[in-house]
Amino acid sequence: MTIPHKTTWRNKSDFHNTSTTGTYLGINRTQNYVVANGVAAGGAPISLPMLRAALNRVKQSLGAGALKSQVWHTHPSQSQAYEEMGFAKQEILMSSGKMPGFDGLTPGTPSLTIAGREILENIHADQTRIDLMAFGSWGKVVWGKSPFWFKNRAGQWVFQIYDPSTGNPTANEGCYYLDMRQYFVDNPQEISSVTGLKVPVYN
Amino acid sequence: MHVVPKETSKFLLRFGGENPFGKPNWRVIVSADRLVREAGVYRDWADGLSTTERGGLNFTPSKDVPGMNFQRYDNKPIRVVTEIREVQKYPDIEGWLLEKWWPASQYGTRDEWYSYKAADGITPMLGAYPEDGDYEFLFGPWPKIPPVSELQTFISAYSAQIANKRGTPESRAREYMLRFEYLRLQAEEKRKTEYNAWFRDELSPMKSGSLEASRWRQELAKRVGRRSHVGIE
Repeated sequence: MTIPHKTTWRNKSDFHNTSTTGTYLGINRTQNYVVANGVAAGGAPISLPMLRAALNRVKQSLGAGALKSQVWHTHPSQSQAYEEMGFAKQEILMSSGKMPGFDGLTPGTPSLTIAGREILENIHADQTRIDLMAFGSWGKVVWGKSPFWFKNRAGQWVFQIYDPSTGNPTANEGCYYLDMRQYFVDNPQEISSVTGLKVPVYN
Repeated sequence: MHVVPKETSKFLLRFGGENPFGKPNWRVIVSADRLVREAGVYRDWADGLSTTERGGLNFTPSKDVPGMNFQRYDNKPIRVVTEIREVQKYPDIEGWLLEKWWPASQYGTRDEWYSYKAADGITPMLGAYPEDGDYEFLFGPWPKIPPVSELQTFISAYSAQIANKRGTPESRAREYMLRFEYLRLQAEEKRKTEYNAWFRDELSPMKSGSLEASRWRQELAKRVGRRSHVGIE
């Protein structure tokens, strides 16, 4: 099979999909090997059993050896909810007996972990889910040198937009940013997620 | 099975206290010894197979055209069995860990615990409900068992952090999000500065083919007394 040349899955986590309908890379999702592992929280707040169930699904599908370098990816509101449960550690590492520059305001140092696994906090992440990302299983197809700003024949980056029906110039200017990279996961069973989580208050 | 020195166990009991079941609140353990009983539909694979080779997709670059070809690996599990297994709780971690005990209430209700089913949709995958609570990994891993002074530092830091939490969970959530909002704004400001610099350098009207840019160039040319048409520089 050949990777379809389309752009719909750039910057999307289609492979973190537990759906059993539709297709992944043209393969019907009724085939369980293209369906990612996942736990549906059903609107409940984050809890330890659901995170463990998400990990166990990977372990049972591919063996304990498959749980190696995965990291959690979620919105800060969910990692804060996890921290609130008290399971997360807050460790400030000291080098040469001196405290590092910790301003107490910006997060990042120290980072949160779930059972020793790093949490990547992303302000743009879906607030209702937490994903177990296996970056080792990600691949990339590069169709050309990119990304770049498209230049028209006159070498312009920003150019006048013409009305396609009349051919007259309009009051709009346009530019195009081209990205010719596509991503895939070579084993969706290596990843997992908890979906449908309750969004914590004040978020 | 690794043996924890008596003085370490004694210290953890004395310093960290004991839970209602007479067990220490804190304990050190080697990750490889930390086992839990879990049920499920286990698929066992032949040794030596990479994670991708366990039923994943094999991607190879196309020879003559851009892009990649792929096909599924033919490997099948050597057996698929539904059973209870004693497995490592933290298979990805090696070394000594400091764990803290949590009461059963932290693990949700029995109903919730047993609601997480294995691939067959029947077998409760988390094993038996932790009636007496359970231990969770908080600090480590260390290649060697840490001295008691270090354990004391970690336990104290953790306890202080919990004891000195300010405000309500809601206000803490709000504060946490404000921190991220602050970071986001800082990043946006930085981006704007970069884009502005880039815009000045690369997207000047001198290089644009738009009608407005053309008018601007002609105006500029008029001011400096140039009469010929000024095109894109």
